[in-house]
Amino acid sequence: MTERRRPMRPEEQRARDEIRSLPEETPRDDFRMRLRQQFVSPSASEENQPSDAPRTSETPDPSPSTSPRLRRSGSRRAGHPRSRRVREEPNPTRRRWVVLGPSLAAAAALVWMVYSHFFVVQYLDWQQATVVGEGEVLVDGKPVRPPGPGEPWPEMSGERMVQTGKDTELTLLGERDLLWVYTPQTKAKLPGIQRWGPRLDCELEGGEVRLTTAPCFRPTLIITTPEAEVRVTGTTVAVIRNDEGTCICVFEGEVGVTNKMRGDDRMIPPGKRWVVRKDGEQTDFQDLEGMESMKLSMLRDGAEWED
Amino acid sequence: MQDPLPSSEQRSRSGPGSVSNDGASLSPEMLRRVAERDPEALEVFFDTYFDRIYQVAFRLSGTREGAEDLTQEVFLRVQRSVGTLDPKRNPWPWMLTIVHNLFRDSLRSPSREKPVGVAPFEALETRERPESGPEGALLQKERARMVQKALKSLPDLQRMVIVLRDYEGLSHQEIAPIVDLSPMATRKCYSRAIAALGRTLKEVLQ
Repeated sequence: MTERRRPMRPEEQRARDEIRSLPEETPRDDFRMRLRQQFVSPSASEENQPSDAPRTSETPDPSPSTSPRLRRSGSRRAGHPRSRRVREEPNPTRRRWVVLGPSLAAAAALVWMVYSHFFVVQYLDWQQATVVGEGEVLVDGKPVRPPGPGEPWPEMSGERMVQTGKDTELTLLGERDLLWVYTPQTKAKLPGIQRWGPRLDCELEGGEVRLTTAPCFRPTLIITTPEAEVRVTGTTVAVIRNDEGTCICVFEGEVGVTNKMRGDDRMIPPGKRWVVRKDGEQTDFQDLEGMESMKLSMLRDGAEWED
Repeated sequence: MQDPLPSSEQRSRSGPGSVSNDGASLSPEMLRRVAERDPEALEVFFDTYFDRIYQVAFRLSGTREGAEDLTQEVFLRVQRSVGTLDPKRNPWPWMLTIVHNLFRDSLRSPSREKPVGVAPFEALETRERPESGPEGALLQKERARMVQKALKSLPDLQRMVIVLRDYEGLSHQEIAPIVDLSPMATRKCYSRAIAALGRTLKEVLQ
């Protein structure tokens, strides 16, 4: 069977050259000396532990290019060291951890549960900050009537699917440090916190959400679309989901984004936008467009955070 | 341009690490003494392979701490089974296999570090590489850091294949038994990895 190889692209050649020209890392002298001593010292050998040393018949085959045992004919794994991996010696410290580990883990979990219960902010209550337009809002598919500005909105809670009408822009205030905007014709789950973690999750099905956070904002907010996962820790950002894909516009702060189709992780710097298309293709970073920048600027400047 | 082997200069940098030219570095007689745990021979063995193992470990882990952990574990394993070494055979592929297994196992452990992206993407002013001076040194250091970070963003197997191929200068036939793949699969893995690296570094180093 003949093998078809395509020529390397210029950027691939460049990447290869970069790897080959990486400078060598100098190991620390004390590490080298300590390891050297351990390696050479008879006390570090396993001569007294024959059960842990590989038997002579399982001698690691050090030369795959010359040894028939590592050739591909016959059993594929016949000569692979995986089948004769050396077991580690019984370690008293490790044994102690095996015993103590579960107890410590249980104690840590208890402490975390108490901490979460009392100290982790739970975004279950939202207030309406402003509503512009006809005020058509659906929560879990049912129309709801927005309350007055600053009043609690019982129907709004984490994990509820909120949808705005074509003439309605809805701004919500979460606790005291997250301003969240549904632009017209947007459908997204309102962020809800995981029960035992400082993490807010939101699913954006379509439309555009904009948000800005107060300096004291603590959790990590995850906005998920079919193409991308956007991680916000403190910033002003818009996430747009449309027929093209998902566009992330960062006005300030930094936002981590994962292209779910390709597994690429990126950090989008302020003033940049990035598009992840539905087929997984992605653009280079681009400057924010004037209108996007202006809207996000207004959102950030319009937020008045309490001390 | 096909995917040629590294230049002779590059391969020679590998010194004892290169599979092809390793035979002359430690004689069968020396390896026999190593197998008998002769302290002097063990010192020679350690001095011959320490730097190469450390460099590979550093490329794989991306951190000094990770490289030290991996290197230490490799020599511990070698130390345990060194008594079974065959003096007629080159020990380097076997040591790389240990590196690969330990690296893979470390990534499966619960304390595995989460993969990171190549970020932030400040474009580096590296169209012209200053050859000397503090600014040039700083820029080259930053460039190496970004390349290392891009390398770390690759899936584990691709990272291993890239390191063995482009940093250690091994052929696909030599890499295949180390990573337990066929040469063809190794080549495909390398192609995917270098394509991903090319995309990433194109943005970072433009």
